Amino acid sequence: MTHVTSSPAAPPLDPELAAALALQLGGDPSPIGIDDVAVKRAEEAQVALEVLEQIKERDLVVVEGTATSHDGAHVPVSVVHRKDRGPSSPVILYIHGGGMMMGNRWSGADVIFDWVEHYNAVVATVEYRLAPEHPFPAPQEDCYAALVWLEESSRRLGVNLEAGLVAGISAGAGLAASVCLMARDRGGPRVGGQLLLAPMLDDRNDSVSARQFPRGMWNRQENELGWRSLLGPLHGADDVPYVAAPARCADLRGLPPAFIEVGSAEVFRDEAVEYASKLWAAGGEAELHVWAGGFHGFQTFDHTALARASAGALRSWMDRRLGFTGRA
Amino acid sequence: MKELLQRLGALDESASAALKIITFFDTLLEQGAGIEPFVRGAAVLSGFPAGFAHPVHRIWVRVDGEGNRLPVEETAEAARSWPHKDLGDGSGGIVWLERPGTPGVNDALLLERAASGLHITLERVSPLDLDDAGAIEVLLSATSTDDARRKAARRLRLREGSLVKVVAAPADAAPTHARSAVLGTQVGPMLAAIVEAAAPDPAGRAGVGDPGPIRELDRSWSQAQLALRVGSRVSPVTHWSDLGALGALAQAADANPAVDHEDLAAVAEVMAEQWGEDTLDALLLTDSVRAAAQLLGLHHSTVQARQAQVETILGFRVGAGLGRARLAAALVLHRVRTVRFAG
Repeated sequence: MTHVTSSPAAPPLDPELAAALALQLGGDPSPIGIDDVAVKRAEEAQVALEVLEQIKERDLVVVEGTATSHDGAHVPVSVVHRKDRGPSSPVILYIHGGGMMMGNRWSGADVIFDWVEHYNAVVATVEYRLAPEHPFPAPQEDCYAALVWLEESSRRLGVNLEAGLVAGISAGAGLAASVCLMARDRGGPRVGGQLLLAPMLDDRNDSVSARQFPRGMWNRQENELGWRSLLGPLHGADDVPYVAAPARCADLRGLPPAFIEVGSAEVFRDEAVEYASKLWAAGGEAELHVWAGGFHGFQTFDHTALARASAGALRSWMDRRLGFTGRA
Repeated sequence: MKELLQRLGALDESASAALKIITFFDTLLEQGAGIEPFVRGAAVLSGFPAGFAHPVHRIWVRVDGEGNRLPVEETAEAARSWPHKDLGDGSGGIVWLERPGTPGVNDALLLERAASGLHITLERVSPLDLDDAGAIEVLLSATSTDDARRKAARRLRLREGSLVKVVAAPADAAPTHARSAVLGTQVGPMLAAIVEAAAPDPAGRAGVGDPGPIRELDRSWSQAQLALRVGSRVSPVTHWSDLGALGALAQAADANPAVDHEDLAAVAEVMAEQWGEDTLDALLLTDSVRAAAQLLGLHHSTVQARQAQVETILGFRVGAGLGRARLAAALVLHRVRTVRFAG
């Protein structure tokens, strides 16, 4: 054997996902480098305009708000709901993904639309500041400020945050976990659940699953770049605060019930599984789904059986968590 | 994703769309996808409903352009009004695409790839209509298709990539391997066994072919047959690999019955003696009369006398040098010509 690289054998991709990926990328995607960040952000800004168009077409209401972060910075929060929303409409704070460096509050808007349509939910989405221009704790504090703003605005918005959810995807899921830890530590707002989809939790980036995926969708190199950007000089230190990297938190007592999902074929697999285990060990509640052969972001290939199963599991948990099944 | 996939529809003039379709279905096949992903692939790639009906397997799948399952009539007939492709194995299986109006440029390719993938996948997931003996025969035949070989190997639980060889034995030998069957050969029935490359030699008469991949078992089988034919009571197990150029000689003689030489008549004359065959074998297998006598369990003077008699009949010395080689070649040719097996 003459393998030069020493990445360990990794779980295979789901067949249908592998075919879709081969079609979309036509091979191995080159990893995102720091120089690609500006281009990606510009593309995402373009997509955001399309989302705003869709909001108009769907005839949804958008209420613009501003939270105030720990350093006084103004953090835009958009609240989206249907015109016929009711007094029992659940509230969800949505935190977008993008490796802490990319994305905007309209990234991944498909889930916002799904929750608004299916649960007649009131979804608040937060425009947190991005690394590397704004390293830790800016993104975490901005998201926490949005939660505090939601609580302060709950009477005006007509929502019950205690029955609501904090939700995020990828880096956004890591931030959602951070927000729940901050709320616990600071005696802040309580929520009914945390929705952690493929969460980015561990800055050490050295789990077995991290080492298994040096290439592919959100690979170890990109993850390294994300954490380096977020942590700046703290990166690689032994004492990274757990508010930055929730995997560092030894004590997960007193946190809201969690829904955690991850693919078996992605960097975040092991940290997601470990986080769920620690929640259980602390007497908390977690529902963990590890989707066989799922890579990071597999949920967007929504024609596949695996993405459908994942969407079904998420809906089932939300039905139970929110106390009712979807309304028409 | 949906948007991206369906853009193939707009792009379908281009060769890159064709390549993408091929890549997509090849990947499904390589990764061992089930039935539905092929149908869903056809639907999602084209943006129109696609269906698959297979009356024999009682499979009815219909999927819309977004990948959602649709209700389906349990008949393959309605499908024929749409662009469609039969599975081509006479099974009545059909895959179709519900694109109204003008067919897309790549519809034929799409249906062809889906049908081919579905056919192979059905073969992979279905139980086999093949018994062990049949499977052994398929693997040992030089004319079997790759498809049939795969199926037969699966029936025999031979892992892809394993190294195997054939052991041939007389038909009345007790089968000592799970994967064995009595097969007819041009010299009578033999017991053929497919064994791991490292399997130990069997007790009793046997010919052992070279180890190799499953798809080359037919070669190992013909080697094993010839090896068995040139073996004897004194030297019961013959490995093809030990025969060297004598193996090539045996092959040539087997292919051309006209090969002849006066040495063969002489060897036949020796073999006609009750002690003849054992003596010739013992002389070839050992380096001295003493060793030959030991092998035969006889006094060395007896063997010495027999050797003298043999050399008189043959007309050349067999104890050393070219004479030994000449005897070995004559013995191989004689056996290829005369050894036959009874049921």
